[in-house]
Amino acid sequence: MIMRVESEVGPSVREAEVRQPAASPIKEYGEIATPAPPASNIHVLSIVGQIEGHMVLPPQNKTTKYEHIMPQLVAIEQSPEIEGLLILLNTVGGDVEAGLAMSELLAGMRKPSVSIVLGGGHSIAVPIAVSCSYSIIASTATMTIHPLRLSGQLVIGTQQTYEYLERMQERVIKFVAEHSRCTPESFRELMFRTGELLRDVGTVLVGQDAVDAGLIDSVGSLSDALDKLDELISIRRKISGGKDWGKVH
Amino acid sequence: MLYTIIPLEEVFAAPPWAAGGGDSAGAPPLPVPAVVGGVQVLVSPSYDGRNRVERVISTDPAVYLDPRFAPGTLI
Repeated sequence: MIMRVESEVGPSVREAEVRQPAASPIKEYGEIATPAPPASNIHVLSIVGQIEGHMVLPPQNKTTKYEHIMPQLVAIEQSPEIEGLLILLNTVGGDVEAGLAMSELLAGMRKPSVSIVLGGGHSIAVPIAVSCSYSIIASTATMTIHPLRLSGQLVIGTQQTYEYLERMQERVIKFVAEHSRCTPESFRELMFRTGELLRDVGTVLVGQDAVDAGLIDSVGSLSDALDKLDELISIRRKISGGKDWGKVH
Repeated sequence: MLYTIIPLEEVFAAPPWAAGGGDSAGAPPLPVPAVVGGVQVLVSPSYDGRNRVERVISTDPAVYLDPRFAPGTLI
């Protein structure tokens, strides 16, 4: 790259053309290349923003796409080096089927997984959080549980649309109830509770509330999540004896 | 079908640069997927023909310590 240098030192310098080489970190900044960190036996998946599924969302939405997540889960399950998976959740919800697909994959993994809800794990993030071997919520994180809605329709027009909505909702309730200590009845109660959300029905669970509701296993932080994952990995090593990977769920 | 706390009219709203009914002239370029050193990244073209790393798509925590993949790095 050719760069013209303007200088007040003298005319000879002012018009000089200086060839600027590509900066080499050790020469220009005194930095040395850091050695590659040892390969981790734990992989991390962050699910952030909107969970994007069958529809591409307009670009102002930050999204996590199912086509990225799902093959990664398969690769993690198959990799001989990876022993555990940490899921970082900070999401406002998203596509029902994409969320359920990720949840089903996570629940079907033999390798131990720990989810940690940070900030927010709302709507379709609830089945994802409960699908892991163990779930943790940060004390300040919130989970909003509310009914499903159809876009652009304030009033349910026909019996068929109502039934469709009801069946979609049933899929979420069923999954959550099967993978947590929360019963379908109590989850439905959280979904339709009135007076907690402005202009809407539903419940906001903050930290310990999610544990009390039976959705999440415990309140904790990153170190708690990693400790739990290490514990699950060592249990699995003992069961498998390094050969047949037993399911730790 | 979306199950989210964000109102659907907000999710599907016209992006700010197209709000006035205009075309996509003011739209920032969409990041495109690329593979760099075996790592999948999303990059957007920079002013000098190089690409700026916008996001890393990897589950390997070590990749996030690699300065080559820090968001904003030109590659």
